[in-house]
Amino acid sequence: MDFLGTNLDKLFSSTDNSNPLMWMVWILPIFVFMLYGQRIQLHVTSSEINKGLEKLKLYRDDTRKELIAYVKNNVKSSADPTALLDRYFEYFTIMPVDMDPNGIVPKIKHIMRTREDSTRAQVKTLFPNLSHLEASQIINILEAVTTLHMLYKMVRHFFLTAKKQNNFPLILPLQMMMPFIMEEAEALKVAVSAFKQGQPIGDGIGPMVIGKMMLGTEKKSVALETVQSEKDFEGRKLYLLKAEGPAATVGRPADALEKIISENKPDIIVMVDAALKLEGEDTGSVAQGFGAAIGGVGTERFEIEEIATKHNIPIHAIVVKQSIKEAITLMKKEIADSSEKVLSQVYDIVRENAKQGQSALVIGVGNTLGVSQ
Amino acid sequence: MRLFKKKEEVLDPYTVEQCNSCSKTSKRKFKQGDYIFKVTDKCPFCGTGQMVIDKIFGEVVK
Repeated sequence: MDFLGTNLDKLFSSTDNSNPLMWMVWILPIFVFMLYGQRIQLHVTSSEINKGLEKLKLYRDDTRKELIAYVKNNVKSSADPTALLDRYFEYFTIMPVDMDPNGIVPKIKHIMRTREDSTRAQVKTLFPNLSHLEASQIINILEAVTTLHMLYKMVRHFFLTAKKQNNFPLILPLQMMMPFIMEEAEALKVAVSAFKQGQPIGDGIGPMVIGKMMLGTEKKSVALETVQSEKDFEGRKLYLLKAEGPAATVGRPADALEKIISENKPDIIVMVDAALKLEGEDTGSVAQGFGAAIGGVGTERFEIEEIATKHNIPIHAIVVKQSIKEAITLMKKEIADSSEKVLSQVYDIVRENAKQGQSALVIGVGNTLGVSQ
Repeated sequence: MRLFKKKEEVLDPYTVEQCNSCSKTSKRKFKQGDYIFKVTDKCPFCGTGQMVIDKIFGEVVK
């Protein structure tokens, strides 16, 4: 090859170390990457995060519109609920000071209860014509939209700060967290549809199993949105506990447990809940273990552990594995089909750990949307 | 850059009813207002029992 008297083979010859053009070809990029490498990486990473941010915004706006449409369809009122609902999306919770962690759990519980109670009261005041079920559905959708709004604002904050300061290290943790944030956001977006239609979600497997055990027994309210019933099983007494369905609520199992134990001390506690699966584990697989199987911020778990320890009651747990998305969206067939297996394991645990004449408290933990008793 | 886009999973909701007398089951599409353990109609198989919703779940649309 010979263009304008230049021999390209000779020009790019790797054997000739004295060629200045070859020096430029190899050395220049090294300098460019040394000086501007972080900026180039920042540019590539930020374009990926920007795509995620756009998606988050879309999810937030879509779920907001769905909530407003749902309220407009279900509430027979002439007033437009948009402004009222928009105010709730900005709600925040200030966690207590943790410099001295002693006694922090009751403080967290107090703050969380204040938020829950006030949201519930406000929804009922604003939309008095709604049934209990519809109000609980609105509260859950509201929670999903608020979480999406918060996720969007947090990601946007870190993204814009990193861009503003050309701060590559600041964007790295965000890049690592983005797949997890997006997974949660997608789950929340899909969850709204299940909440709107009152369909059971994956997290409802615990209440579903205990609800089946409760069929044909007399149910009584034992704490806010929580029901209890009693049943005899092979010479043992079973105290059954779950959130009151089919409303979208998790009830107050710790309060109910305290009340039950103050009246009748059970010999064992069995908790049934959904649990996050590890990658590679099958959806709907069932596992047994020990300890309080209950999620949330941790206050309910703390109280259950406290009460059980104080009264020296062993806690057994059965969990049904699922992903975060499966836990808050329409219950999958694999999860629903696991209910028979869970039920037989509950009875096995009771047989093995409580003698005849003794009693067991069986708690179905989770959101009981679409699951009665 | 993602070369292969993950296909989004869509779930179709179904309701399974079971007769509280003859234990026969029937599966149908989910209807608004369905919830687990809701007593629905008379059993079409034995004619004496009541159909109770046993399960509501989503099946992946293929």
